Amino acid sequence: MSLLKVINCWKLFGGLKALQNVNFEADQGILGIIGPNGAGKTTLFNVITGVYKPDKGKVFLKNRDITGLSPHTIRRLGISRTFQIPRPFINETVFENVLAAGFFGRVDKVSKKELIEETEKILEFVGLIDKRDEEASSLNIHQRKLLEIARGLITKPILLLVDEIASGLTPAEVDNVVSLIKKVNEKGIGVIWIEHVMRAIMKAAERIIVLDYGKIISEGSPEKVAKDPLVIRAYLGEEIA
Amino acid sequence: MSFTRSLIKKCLVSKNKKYVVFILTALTLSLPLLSSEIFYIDFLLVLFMYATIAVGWNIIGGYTGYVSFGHVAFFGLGAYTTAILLVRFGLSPFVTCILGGVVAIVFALLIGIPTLKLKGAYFAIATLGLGFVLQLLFLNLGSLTGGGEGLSLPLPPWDIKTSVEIFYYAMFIVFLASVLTTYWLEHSRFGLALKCIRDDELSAETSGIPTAKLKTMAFLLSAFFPAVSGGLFSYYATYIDPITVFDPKISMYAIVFSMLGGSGSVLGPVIGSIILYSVAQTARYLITAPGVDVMVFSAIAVAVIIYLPEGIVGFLKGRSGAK
Repeated sequence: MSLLKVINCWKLFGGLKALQNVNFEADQGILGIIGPNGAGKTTLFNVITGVYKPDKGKVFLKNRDITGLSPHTIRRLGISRTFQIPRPFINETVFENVLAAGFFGRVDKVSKKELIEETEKILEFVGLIDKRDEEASSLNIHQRKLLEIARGLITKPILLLVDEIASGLTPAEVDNVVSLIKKVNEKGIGVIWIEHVMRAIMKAAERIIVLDYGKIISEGSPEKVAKDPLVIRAYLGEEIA
Repeated sequence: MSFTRSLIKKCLVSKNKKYVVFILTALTLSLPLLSSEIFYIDFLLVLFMYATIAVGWNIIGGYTGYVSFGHVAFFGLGAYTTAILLVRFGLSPFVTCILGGVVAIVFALLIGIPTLKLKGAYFAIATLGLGFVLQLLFLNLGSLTGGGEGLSLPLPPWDIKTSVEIFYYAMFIVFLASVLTTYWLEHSRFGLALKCIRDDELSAETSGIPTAKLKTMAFLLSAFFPAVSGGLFSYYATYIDPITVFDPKISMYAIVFSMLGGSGSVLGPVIGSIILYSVAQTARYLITAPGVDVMVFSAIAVAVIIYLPEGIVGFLKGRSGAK
């Protein structure tokens, strides 16, 4: 069953067509989204999570129309996201960062005690338990990205949207987040993953969508997409293709 | 420096805090019994008033990160509500000061819904106008407010000393209520959400926090206490006019008191009020030239912004200004 359906979505910023008639479905697996800078990938996430309203088109989560709902409602319905440049609550502790999302982003009623236990479990899962009581401002970029994932998971999402989590990380750290996201997916959480680091996304994704100038220009398995002349042209230019 | 720091830290930040607060409260309550000087009681009463405004401001300005430059609007609104209800209907100010708070909440709701959509400096500028607009309005609604001539309230039915003591206790209760509310805030989900909004509003919203609703609630809460203290002030002063109760200086006091003590903390605005108000008043009595208190006050404000950007509480917690 498809978890997310994006149907005929358009998003315009003045004369700039950030998204043009985007159609796709995401299921329980890992769906990669790639494309050159400015292709509209993050805009697509912003439309799905309610930060932007699409000018045309619909977004469905498990057959429920979520188009135009506020971001906090969409979060409660089961879509979590991480930011490309991590946006932690900088003056709060790592624990509080995750707890805050747990308090407000969940529909199921859990007691404070249960939530604290779950928060600790998730910090353990992403590998931040040692940093539990440190302020988020003291974390390095890798740890901040892990915190983004932890904050995403505490609300028990159906779908996790991951925005360029591997960018700016060392090769060892990239491997760490790739295996982490695979583990998240194994828990039954669908993943849509925007990535520029091909080494990471080509290994992990089952299916890939390529965006260019707001349009989907190619779709399929990583191997198929990598050989698509349209994709090569979008990345490298006319002559080489 | 480090010795004083550790000493104050022992008093304020550790678990001894409870006792220190308890002893200070007991001292405050017994002060009218210890001293027969009306001067000191009056001094503390006005200090509590400013501290209440600062504590109220801190809820939206410190915890939520929306710096309001117009909190005097709520103070003045509370003062006028109480004064009008007393003069026209003879209702007791000790009850109607709460009503003044309610009027301020309604006003804050009307103002907050559009202005809280603005961020940073834009919100500050939008709120800056609030006090001036109300000042003009109250100057010109002569039949209701007495216009520029102001309103004279009936004298309280007690002799001066009893009267000052009663107002002293009443103001202290309002002050204490505001501090206890912030204490609750500091330890509640609501307060955590506000701090998240301050740190990163988009991130808070996508984490499931209904930011628009919660920051409006914070704004209402922060409008309430200044208004109640304004209501008590009007009866205590027995005369109010739009120039005094909508004086923009009062908004500035709230901001600078909070910043010196440490905005976004429970005790910050209290500590800031005690220090700055005492210094400003002392300067005023020592040097009897007009405006000296404001000069001293401003100099301290500049020094704080440069040397203690996180305030005294932030400094004691070992936070530097650099992030």
